[in-house]
Amino acid sequence: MTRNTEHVSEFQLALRSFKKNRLAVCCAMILFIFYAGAIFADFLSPYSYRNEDRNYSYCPPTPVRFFDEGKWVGPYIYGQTLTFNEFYRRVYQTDTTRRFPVRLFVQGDEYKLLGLIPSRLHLVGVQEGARLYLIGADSRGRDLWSRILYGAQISLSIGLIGVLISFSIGLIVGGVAGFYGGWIDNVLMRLCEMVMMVPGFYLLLALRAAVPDDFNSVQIYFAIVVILSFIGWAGLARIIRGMCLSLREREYVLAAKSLGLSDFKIILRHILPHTVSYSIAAVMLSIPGYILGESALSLIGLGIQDPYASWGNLLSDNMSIVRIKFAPWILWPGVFIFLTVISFNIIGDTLRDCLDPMMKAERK
Amino acid sequence: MQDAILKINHLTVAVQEFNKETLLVNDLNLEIPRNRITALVGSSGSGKTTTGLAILRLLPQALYMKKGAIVWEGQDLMNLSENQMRLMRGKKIGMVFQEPLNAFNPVFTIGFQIGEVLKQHTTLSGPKINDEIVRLLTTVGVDDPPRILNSYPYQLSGGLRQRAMIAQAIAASPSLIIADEPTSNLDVTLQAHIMELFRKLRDELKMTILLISHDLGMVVHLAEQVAILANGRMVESGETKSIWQHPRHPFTQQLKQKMVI
Repeated sequence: MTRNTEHVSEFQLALRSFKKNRLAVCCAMILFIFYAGAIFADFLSPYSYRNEDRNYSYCPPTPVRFFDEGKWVGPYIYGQTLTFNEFYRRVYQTDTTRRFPVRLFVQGDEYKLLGLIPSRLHLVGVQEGARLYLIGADSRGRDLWSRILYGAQISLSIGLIGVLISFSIGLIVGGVAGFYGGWIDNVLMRLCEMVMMVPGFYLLLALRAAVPDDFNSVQIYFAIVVILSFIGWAGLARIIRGMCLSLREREYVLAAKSLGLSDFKIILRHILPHTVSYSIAAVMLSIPGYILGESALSLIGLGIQDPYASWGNLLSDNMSIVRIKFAPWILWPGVFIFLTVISFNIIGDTLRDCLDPMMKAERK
Repeated sequence: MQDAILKINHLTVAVQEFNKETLLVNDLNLEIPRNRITALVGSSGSGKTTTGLAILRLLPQALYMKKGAIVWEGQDLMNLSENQMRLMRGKKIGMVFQEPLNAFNPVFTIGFQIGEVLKQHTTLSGPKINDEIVRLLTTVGVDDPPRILNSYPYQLSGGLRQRAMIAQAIAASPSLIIADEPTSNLDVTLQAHIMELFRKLRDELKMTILLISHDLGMVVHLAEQVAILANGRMVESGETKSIWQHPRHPFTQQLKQKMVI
């Protein structure tokens, strides 16, 4: 009869061993914070992504101060005054006579939270007359911190949507090829090879060139997602196909056939679920590819267009060494890309180890 | 001779090995009478399971049917399209496998997998499916159906799993059940219970059963008809009693004394 022990599923076992890996948990928390930041970007950012003031071009970070001559006065910033030095280079001078308190929950640029609730509330902000630049400003005096938050919406979501599309295609193509074998397998695998044959980045550029110029930003966004997914599915399809070739010989597949289930249901329910431990790890490990792909396209100006922000097009400012020299804070988007990519990789590696049944000996 | 639900005429199944063709089933003729239990007995490798799979047209890819016909109520199954054949499987002909642990998908509950068959072949939906599964499990003699249907295959004992497997096979109420060594992984007491269950399926649900086994001594109490297979050829067939009492072929005599398995 049934065992009366506590039932622990394979997934729970994997979760337990995942939690033991502190580095991976740390990375999961980083990603959680990033995604939360992206979802609530409108509220968390002091300004809208297109709120610009050209008098503050490449304005350095305005440090938030709490003490005035040793006395607690609450957070405030000093105003910045724009002057030019003898080389006609912009120099911002901190004007200690003008003091602007940093307030929480202030009214600012209008937005719709989650695209639904209209609001003007922002987490932090200063009154008119000064601008709050937590990590600095870009060329048009837009707040880089706000733009990184807005950029996260695009950069982080492209990875998820892209992976969703390409994995759906990869799983179905791989499943069908592996299940049927024969000429279907041959045709589908040669198709995969044709996609894989062209180096990824050049294919990306070629496909991007095929997209009409007059697309608006939303259309470009989806075009990029589709292009990235088009490149990503082939590798997965090949591996899933290999797994299906062995899975279809299992007796429960024969049993399902003997019960008259349709081929589609057999692939979907009796074959693909058994590739899930591989797929989860592969998903995690391939998301950085999409984020980097979008960044690369945007960096060379083929992706998300100004004024919309993505981490890639924020980085395109860094193409000139002079700008990096005088405004090093414009490298911040790179830090976020780096952290995201490395977090996904570490989580993916850890998940792969945790989900591998052969590693059970190490799960104590 | 009463009417046969299934007639196997000159069934020949072969496998191609390099340039050599090996016959796994050689010119097999068999009639399966309606509402009876027919046993197909032979040692391992004699082509019993292959015959069972050939009826459902589920031979492994390397194997092929060289010639012969499998006639179901006057229609040759070999002439059906793949879609028509799918409607036969499970709905007209069900199959019970030797090792239910392998024949159930480990990632889904028993209830889900029986429900899948009901969704495919019947018009039932929603809570009615659940009621039907409970009824099926009760039919096959499961004591606590609600618990079993929420269990995963590996959580059940061998006997319960085999009953659940039979419940799945009869879910769409097929007229013929092919039982491929349904008891060989069970202990003797459970074997008797499962055999009793097949008798019940025949008597109460009017099903026809093709019992594939290597144990002549076991089927003798259950089956009315028996066919003895050796090396893909049928060596003897007829009423079980007469074959058991007067085995003519030496192979049958060996089987009777359990000298070959």
